[in-house]
Amino acid sequence: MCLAVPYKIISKKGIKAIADVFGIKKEIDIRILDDVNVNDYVLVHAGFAIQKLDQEEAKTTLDLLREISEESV
Amino acid sequence: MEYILLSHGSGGKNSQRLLKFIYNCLGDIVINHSEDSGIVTITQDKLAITTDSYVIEPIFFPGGDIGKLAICGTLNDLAMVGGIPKYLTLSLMIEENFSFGDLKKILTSIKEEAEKAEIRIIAGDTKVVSKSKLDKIFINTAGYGIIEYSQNINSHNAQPGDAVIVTGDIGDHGAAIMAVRNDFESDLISDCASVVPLIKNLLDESINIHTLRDPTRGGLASILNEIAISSSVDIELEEVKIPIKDAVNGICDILGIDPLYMACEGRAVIICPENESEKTLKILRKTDTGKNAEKIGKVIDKSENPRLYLKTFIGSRRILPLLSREQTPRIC
Amino acid sequence: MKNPFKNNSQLIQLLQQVDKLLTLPPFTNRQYNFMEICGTHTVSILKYGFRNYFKGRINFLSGPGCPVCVTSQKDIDKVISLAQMGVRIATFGDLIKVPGSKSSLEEQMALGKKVDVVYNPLDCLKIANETDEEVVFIAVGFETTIPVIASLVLDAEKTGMENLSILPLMKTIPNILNFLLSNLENEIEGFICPGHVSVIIGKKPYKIIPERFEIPCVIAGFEPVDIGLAIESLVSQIRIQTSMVDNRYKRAVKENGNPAARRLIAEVFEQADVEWRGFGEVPASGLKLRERFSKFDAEKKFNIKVEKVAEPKGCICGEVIAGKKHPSECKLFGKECTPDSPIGPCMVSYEGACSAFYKYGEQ
Repeated sequence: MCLAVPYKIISKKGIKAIADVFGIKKEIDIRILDDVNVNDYVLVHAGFAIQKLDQEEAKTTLDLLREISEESV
Repeated sequence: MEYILLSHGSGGKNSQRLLKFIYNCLGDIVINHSEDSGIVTITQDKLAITTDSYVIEPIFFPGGDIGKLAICGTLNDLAMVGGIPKYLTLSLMIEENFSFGDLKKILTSIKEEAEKAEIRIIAGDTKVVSKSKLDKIFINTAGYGIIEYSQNINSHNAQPGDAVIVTGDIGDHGAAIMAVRNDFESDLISDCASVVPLIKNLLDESINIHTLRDPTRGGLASILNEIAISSSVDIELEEVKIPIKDAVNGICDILGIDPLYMACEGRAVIICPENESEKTLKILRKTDTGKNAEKIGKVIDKSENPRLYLKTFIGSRRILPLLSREQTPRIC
Repeated sequence: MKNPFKNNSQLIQLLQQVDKLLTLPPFTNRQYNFMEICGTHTVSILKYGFRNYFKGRINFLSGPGCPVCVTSQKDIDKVISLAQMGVRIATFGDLIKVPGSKSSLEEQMALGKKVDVVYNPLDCLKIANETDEEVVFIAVGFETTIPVIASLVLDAEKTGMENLSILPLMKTIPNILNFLLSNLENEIEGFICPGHVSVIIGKKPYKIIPERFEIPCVIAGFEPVDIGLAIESLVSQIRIQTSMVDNRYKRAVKENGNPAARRLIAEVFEQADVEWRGFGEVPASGLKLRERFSKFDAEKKFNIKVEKVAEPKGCICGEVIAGKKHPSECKLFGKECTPDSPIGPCMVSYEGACSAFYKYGEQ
């Protein structure tokens, strides 16, 4: 089951980190992310952070939404 | 003495001690406590009577405990037919080895809620059962309320064109309980509260309430399905209008459950004529427990095959079915 | 904070654009068939109302992307036989209710067999550490889950765990799509590729689909805006008669996926031919443990033998997974088969197509 909700890293120690999702704190494993830092948003699957969320790309996608929705067909 | 023993339910000296402990905790909200039955004088024609049993794990949760839940739940059931609560009965079933400390906390909550609502406990009972015959503590209540208002409030009375209003955020109680059960450290708090003051204000202002329900077990979607069936109408909700906290949505996403089916313990759903909806919202929002009240949909048409619909974020429509079981959190 | 990917007024405009596109050439007045592979996409498409929105114009088919649903009846029987042997089972919760040919884990639990539900497979280390019993983790999952399972095996090796093994039932996505298009009759005209599998594998493994089969693909997230943008991409690709792998989930899916996760997978597992419900054995569509880790293979360790069995009578889960039929075409759907008493796996899993159809009102 894929979970779209992003978790925010609030502290990390070795391959483990504490992440916050809407005020809920969870310990997650960060061993498969090469470079993850406090305040990064990550996607979590089965207790593992599987990818960092790229804020710039998120903005680009929303820009794309705006562009397409305003295009004239 | 720290823990309740089987002998506390034996009828002997220890039973007297337990009763004394309970009376001490509850104080003067208990009346007639030396007789086998409570005697009250009631002059009104119409009485509302309800009974319910309360079983919850965990018994202490963020925003309340089983005692508060029992009192508020009973008060709310009375309010749902326009009854203004006057008297309650209270039965405690306690597992052997339950701590007096926890019992005191629960009784204190009961006292607080009873005082707030200005009701009295007219009869009660206490049983102690041997270990593992029940889980910690169960509470049974009966509530008696007086119907002083002329509005004809019932589940069969939702009319096409009526507005559907909810008195606050949805799913807080269910989410708070789920968080605790799953060992999530969170800020979620149960909405457990009496809605009597909110409803009383509406009745005092002569709002013509057609239907009133509290979305407890099964949540908003289940009780609106029941209303749709009872009144033979289709109802449509608007997803964007339904007030749900981000944290509640978040935990629901994580656990794979739907907040529309999650229990609330301090909310009411009000169905009233559309032209009274603005006034209703204004009255509700004056009170703290009603400050997030929202009009979330409308009764559409009479229907032989009554349905509850949801107009989603994208303006599409889907059915919100009556599900056959309580939601269980997904694990994977 | 309002989530701009969930509740966004521009999404409604975007969908109106798609509406318009669908009335213009080359589109004709018929339904177009798109397949979403991931079960979570199935849930989003139903939950947010996309299925109803495009009714009669776009037909959404649920693909083989729910790990519980694609597990064969024979493999479920292996799990049951392990439980019957008295081995302690650790599993994701969804598997518990799936009926095997004679019993389910739920029934085995009622009979007193030990079954632990885990959210994170690494929890098995703790369980195995605290007992002398043999513990077996039922390793179902796709590329998203497999790095986690690989970590479990590596940690078990590192700590010298003797009483822990896994039943390898893992499957991989790209080859099954290839198989679906090459071997089975269907009319798929666009794929919504699984978002979080793509987080791991990246964009490249899907390229064979547009190149060989000329079918447009889009990688998508799970929020309403993500689904809307994905549908728009497929419709636009068909409109200009092109096919490519369009990544519309760039905030999570990098061109090259997550190489560290793939390294972990490759260290522990190698490609294998595995059995899928509804498809039978499909070449190179799953994983098995490498020789170095064979002592963690429960199938070998406990010498599990099960008979080949038929799928439940009347159940069309296999055809649903292949995108040939809708859940509502099943005679059992909503009658004998409901989430309370499921007959096929698609009604069990939270993200199974039948369960989602039932829950989101397509009853």
